[in-house]
Amino acid sequence: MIAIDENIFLWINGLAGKIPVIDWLFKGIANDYLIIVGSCLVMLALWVWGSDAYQRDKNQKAVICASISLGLAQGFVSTCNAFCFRPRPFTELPTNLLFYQPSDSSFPSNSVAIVFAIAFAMFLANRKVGGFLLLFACLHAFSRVYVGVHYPFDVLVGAAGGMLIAFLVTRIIKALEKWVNIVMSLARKLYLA
Amino acid sequence: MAFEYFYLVLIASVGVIQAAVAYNGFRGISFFSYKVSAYLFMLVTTSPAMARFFTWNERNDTGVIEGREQFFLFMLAIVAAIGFTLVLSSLLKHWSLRKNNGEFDGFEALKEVTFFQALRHRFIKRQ
Repeated sequence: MIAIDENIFLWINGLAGKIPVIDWLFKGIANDYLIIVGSCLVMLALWVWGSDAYQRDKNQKAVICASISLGLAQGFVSTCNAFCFRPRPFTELPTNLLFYQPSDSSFPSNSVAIVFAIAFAMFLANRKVGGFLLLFACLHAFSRVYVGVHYPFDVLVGAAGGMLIAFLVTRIIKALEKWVNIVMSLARKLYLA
Repeated sequence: MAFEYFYLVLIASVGVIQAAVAYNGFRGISFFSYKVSAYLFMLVTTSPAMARFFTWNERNDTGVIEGREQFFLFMLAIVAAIGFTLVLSSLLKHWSLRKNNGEFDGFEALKEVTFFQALRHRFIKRQ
């Protein structure tokens, strides 16, 4: 399993360093801020988005789910890191490293877990916006391997963990809809929702 | 580095909020009278901020902000962006929307009145 993971890493990372424009593009997409901040800005826009109050209410509940999923995804990664440390690929294999050298555990990918948690929570409520965010989440996951800071298995587990968390949070929020509606109506009274 | 992150998120958020509220017709929290002005505003605020995020590692070689600090800075910037938007839009639109009646609950009211006019309507005039 580890050998397969390493071979896929070597193949994907082997593509780096050949075409400077592609390297530059993936370096930008792989960084810890662009996709995460971009996804959060989409959530911010969605809070006020909707042709009517019903649609907006649906979007706002999706944003709540995505925000909770984001926090829990971070917790999931921290918990995994507490039990298991996997060295970064550039410390073990010949790597075309296009990025700075992170010193924390490679498994699972923190940023990938977060972007997938946000994207999948949005996807469950709004296919168009969620699909768009998932596309960027996939690009981010691929780019983390391309630039040499993660193994494919790290990003796969990060993505799966993020999506599972988003799915569970959405189900729980649905089950607690009565309480969520109380909070939303309070926010509505203050013109914040 | 933390300050750069904070102000980039702040600028990008204000731009996104303006474009979103303009598109959805929330005159009370828009800085502008025309939608196209709000879209242009987003273009000159959010796009450069996102470009700066894109090139972050070219400027800060080894620079990352730790997860918790990043979350705190992000939330702070979002709250600041929302506060700034509510205050500035209330100042800019106070006179043009003062005769309107914000009789709806929630965001719907902000299509007709500013945020502070809506609050005033709820907590002062209804007493």
